[in-house]
Amino acid sequence: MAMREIRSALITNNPVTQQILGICSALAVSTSVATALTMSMALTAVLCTSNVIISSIRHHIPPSIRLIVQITIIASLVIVTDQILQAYAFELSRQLSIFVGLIVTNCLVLGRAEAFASRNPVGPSAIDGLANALGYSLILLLVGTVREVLGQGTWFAMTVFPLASNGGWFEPIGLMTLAPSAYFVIGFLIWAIRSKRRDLVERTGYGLRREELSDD
Amino acid sequence: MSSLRTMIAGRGLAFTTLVTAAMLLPGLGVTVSESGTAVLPLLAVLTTSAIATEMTFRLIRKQALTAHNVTTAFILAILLPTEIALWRAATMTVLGVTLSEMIFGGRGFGFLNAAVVIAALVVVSFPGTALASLTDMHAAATAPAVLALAVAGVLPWRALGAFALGCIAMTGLSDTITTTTAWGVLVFGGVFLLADPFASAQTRSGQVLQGVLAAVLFAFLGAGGADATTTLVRAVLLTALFVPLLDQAILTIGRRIDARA
Repeated sequence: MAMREIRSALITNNPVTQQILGICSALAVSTSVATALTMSMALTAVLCTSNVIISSIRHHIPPSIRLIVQITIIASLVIVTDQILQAYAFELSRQLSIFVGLIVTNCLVLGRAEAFASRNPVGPSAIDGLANALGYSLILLLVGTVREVLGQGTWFAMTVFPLASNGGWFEPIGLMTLAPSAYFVIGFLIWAIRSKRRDLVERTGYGLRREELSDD
Repeated sequence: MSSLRTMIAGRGLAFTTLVTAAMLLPGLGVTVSESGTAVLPLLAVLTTSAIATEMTFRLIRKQALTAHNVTTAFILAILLPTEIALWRAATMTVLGVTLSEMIFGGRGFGFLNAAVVIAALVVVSFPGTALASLTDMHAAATAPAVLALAVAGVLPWRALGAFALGCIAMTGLSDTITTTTAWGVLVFGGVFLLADPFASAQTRSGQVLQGVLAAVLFAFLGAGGADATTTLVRAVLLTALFVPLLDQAILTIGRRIDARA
């Protein structure tokens, strides 16, 4: 059961490529693999814990204020995570700047809390949190790899392509260090996944009208 | 809706490609005579990577093989600086052809000119790269193309005309338009980048608006003193993003008028 959940969240129901959640942070922190990995770990910690806490008190939260309660719990967890990062990995936390703090607003965390943890037992909620966090991490690391290798010629700060400025041949592709390239890479990923797995393609929501298709 | 696309479809994409490619040859000749044969390896790399990308997608999609992007390669050989590293040109060509055409299903399905997208990608990706500056000779070499493409019925001439009038109207507002070196860029870019039969607006009024918008953007984007070629590429790309919206607006207005009548 747990393995099936996790496998589904990695590809078929991946939060980033299928549910299109958490895109904003995915493009902000994926300029290098190190920041992507740190962000993934921070999000995994927050998502698993928040799912467990919210699920365990789900019968005691009045429905009318459930969003406020959920946000409060998530925000507290994010602050703790951010403080831990600042204490033990100051350099990385500076590179991630506000984005760890912005996990509060990451639609993925609140989305899972609202859609799953608030109506399911603790065990499945924990697995759901872990599975979705892993799905998010997988995409983040992939995008981070592509962007760091092409944008800086390194992977985890290890040289992959020797830079021309250091006597090598590779000139970094500046585009890859800019935010739009994350959209390109995620877009290509979604394209590749859906070409391979036709069943994941959504039905067209707003197709062209008949008169728009005809010519004159 | 204008029958431009129908007309092109009637004559075949291959016909359009052939005429456009032939009309690009004089411009290529000018570039070779001005910057020497160094442009030939670049042309070879551009042609190979552009056509290889197109054919790969068509192979995967089990479609008949085409080589429409030969025109993309010709335009880029004129636009890109001759000294650009070949692998850079190749990488950006593959990425650009994929992003601007193949995503939408190939030439004729999208709304972007591949050469414009690739030139923009080169400028953004490799800071410091300046596109080639086109001369009056390029303008002269492009002049016959206007006539030939119009006669062949593959030139959205309203867009080109509106662009020309717009540029005249904007003269004085912008340094870029008044400099003499901009002539080559304006004529060449107007014909081969802006007035692309597939990427241009498909409604008549839409084409006029497109030309005007491109001229206004060219004047404003060039006001800071950026070089004319880069400015035109930016202006045309930015305009292209609005073109489907312009067409949609024109169609909606037309439909409302029809409904009232």
